[in-house]
Amino acid sequence: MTTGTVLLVEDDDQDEMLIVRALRKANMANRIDVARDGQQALDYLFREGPYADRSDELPIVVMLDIGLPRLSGLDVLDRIRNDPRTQLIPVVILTSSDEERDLLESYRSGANSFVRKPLDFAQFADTVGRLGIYWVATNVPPPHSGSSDPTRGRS
Amino acid sequence: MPIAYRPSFAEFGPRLGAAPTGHAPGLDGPLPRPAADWVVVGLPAVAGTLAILVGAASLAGWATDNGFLRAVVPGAVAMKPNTAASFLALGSALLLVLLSRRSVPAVARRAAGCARALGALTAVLAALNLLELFSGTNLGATRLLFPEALARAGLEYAGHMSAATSLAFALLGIALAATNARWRPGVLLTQSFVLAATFVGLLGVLGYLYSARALYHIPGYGTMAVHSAALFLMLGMATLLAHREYPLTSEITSGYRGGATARALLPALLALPVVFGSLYLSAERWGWYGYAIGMALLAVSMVAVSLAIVWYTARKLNRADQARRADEAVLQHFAALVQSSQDAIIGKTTGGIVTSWNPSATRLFGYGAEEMIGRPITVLIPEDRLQEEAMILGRIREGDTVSSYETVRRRNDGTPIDVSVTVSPIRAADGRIVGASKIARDITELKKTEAQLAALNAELEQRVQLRTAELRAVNAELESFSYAVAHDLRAPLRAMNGFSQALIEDFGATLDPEARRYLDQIVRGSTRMGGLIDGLLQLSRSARGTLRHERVDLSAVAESILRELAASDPGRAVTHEVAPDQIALGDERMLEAVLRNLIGNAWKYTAGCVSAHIRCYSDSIDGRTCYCVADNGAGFDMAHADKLFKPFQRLHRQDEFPGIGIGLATVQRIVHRHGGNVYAKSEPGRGATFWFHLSTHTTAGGSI
Repeated sequence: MTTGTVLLVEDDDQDEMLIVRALRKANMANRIDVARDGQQALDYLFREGPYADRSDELPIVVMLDIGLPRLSGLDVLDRIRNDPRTQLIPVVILTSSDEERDLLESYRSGANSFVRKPLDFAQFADTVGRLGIYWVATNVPPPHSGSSDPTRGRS
Repeated sequence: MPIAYRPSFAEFGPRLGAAPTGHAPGLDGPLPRPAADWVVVGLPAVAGTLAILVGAASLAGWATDNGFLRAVVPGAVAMKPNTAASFLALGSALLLVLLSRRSVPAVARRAAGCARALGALTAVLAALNLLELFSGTNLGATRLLFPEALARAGLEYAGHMSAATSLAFALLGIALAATNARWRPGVLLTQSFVLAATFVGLLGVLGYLYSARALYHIPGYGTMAVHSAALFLMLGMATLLAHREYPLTSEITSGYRGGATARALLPALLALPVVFGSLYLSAERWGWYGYAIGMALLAVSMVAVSLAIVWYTARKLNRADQARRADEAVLQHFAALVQSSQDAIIGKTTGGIVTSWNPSATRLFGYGAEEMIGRPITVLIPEDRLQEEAMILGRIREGDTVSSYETVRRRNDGTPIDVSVTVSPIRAADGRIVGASKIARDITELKKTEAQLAALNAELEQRVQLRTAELRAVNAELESFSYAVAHDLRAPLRAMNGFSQALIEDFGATLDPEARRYLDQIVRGSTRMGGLIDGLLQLSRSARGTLRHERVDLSAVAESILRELAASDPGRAVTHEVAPDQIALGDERMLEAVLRNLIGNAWKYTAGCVSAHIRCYSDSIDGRTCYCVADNGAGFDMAHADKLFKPFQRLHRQDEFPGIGIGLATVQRIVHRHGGNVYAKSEPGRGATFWFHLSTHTTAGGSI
């Protein structure tokens, strides 16, 4: 298990609490940073604005909601994919939208995965937990995403 | 009823006569033709030739001192040389006249000139003769020809032509000299000369026939030979026939009924009196009866003949008149049709000159009949359309009809009018195109209506477009509304559900059982709410969106749905039967939703069944293909069937069978959009059957 950071971009604080709880319940111990809207997420990733002197590495996975105020999640995705620094970071769309066009757009814009937030809480906790475990434990993040120290190894 | 133009029979001939005249064809025959050529050319030619031959023969006789030839007819008095020469001249003149009437102008003029010269010569000779006879002086006329031979025959001083002969020659000579001459004394006078000469000949012939010597022998003034008399008769008649300009001849040779009747009667009329006269005279000479009885018999015979002639003529004329009246009635009828027609009917020549104009034409164009007849029809055509007339006339000349041609014409006050014009060719009896019949109809109203209709259509089109735009806008709003519902309503729901579950999981042990139960209710409530939102979203999605038209394999869809249900609910043992190859035409996603709801219901409501069975099949009901889903589950009471398809109305309690009550409303909505209908039938405890059909056309709901 890597020790990289997970960036969660979610505007709804209730959803945030539930997601974090689910991840913890699944024994994911990685640090979880939360951005409340698209601009915050971008500032965080590109070390701008209030995050100008963030010294930590880039996250190993971004869990991105689509329905964000002002800058939508898909716009954020575009920016992430168009910047060489963040191009390769795995992005998982985690959204309650079941519109077909959001699905299409997400994949077109380069999302690695698309997950719908289940309505049923048990299912929700289960899904989110497995999702987190997969991306931090099973998936191998791309190099230069900050925490790919080969000496750290995987487990 | 005043008629602006009366077509002549010559133009339309038997064509109109072919209209019902009430009598059988052939009785009157077709219109009679003018005297045949053999009458007006053949007979005169024969007469002329005969005169030439006789004259030439006699002259030859004198020249060769041949007694037989001199007399020509055996036993008759010798023909004087002057007489022979005169016959030769007259015969030639007659033939020349015939020639001049039938050849090219250059030849004709020469021929006529020669004929006149010959005639004049003959007349002069005859006049000289008459002068010598009456004055007793010797002018040498008789000695002009063959004086030695005459002397030998002892006729030196008796070489005169007889007075009668001279007279006849003079008359005929003058008449022939007058043919076509500029100094013509009047055809009536000329004709009477010829008639007089003819009668002289006739008298001579009859004299010989009836042995009445006085008719051909006037003491001191000579004897007319029989052949001379006969020749005068023939030449006279021939000259009459050859000159069609003579009033008598023109009537007799005319193509009208009078001429035909005359020609039919004349031979008999000329011959009968002579024959009868001869008969009765002979009988009297044989002593059968006295001359008075003979005269009486002749009179009676002539009366009988006259009666027959009158009868024949009367009948012919009556029939002709009847036919003419009938044809006139037909003509009047046709004329009335034209006059009373509400459409303008205009007749014109192939050159476009107006020949007839009916009252409706006056109504339409403003010009009266007197104003328009004889003028070109282009008066009615506005400048920018003048080439249309040339096009129309061209088509007419080829025998085509111009039908219902919509165009613009001009009234007499200059205002333009919209008309529909039909022009057809008029043919004469022999098929030639002699004119055109034009029917013009005022279509101003029609055009106005058309314009109104077009305007209405445009307006309608505009309104439709406006509505469509509105609908599109509304639909777009609905879309974003649904999206908002999906996203924004679900989030708080997830929070409620989530935190309640979290409470139970994290702090459940420390909670009161009652508290636990309350929390359970909160979870149940929020779960139900989620289901309701899903159902509503599904219902709204089924109402909008483009309806695709594709072939949908309902059997495959049903099978896959049943497999899914079996996989998600392995505990249940449900047998099913899906008829293969059920193909429908419609939107695949929506039809899948329909089957999902119906089969899902069947699955749900057979929950309490021991041997649950679901059947998906097709049936033909009322000529339409219906797709059916039947189960043997709980069924429902048909009494409440009207609530079946209403949203949120349920026929079972939540604790009996859970559910929102949206499924069937969605099914109905989708089926209606496909132009079809859905039905249900059930008995409580005996299962239910749902069936639906889609429209036979594929444009049920259309797309927005």
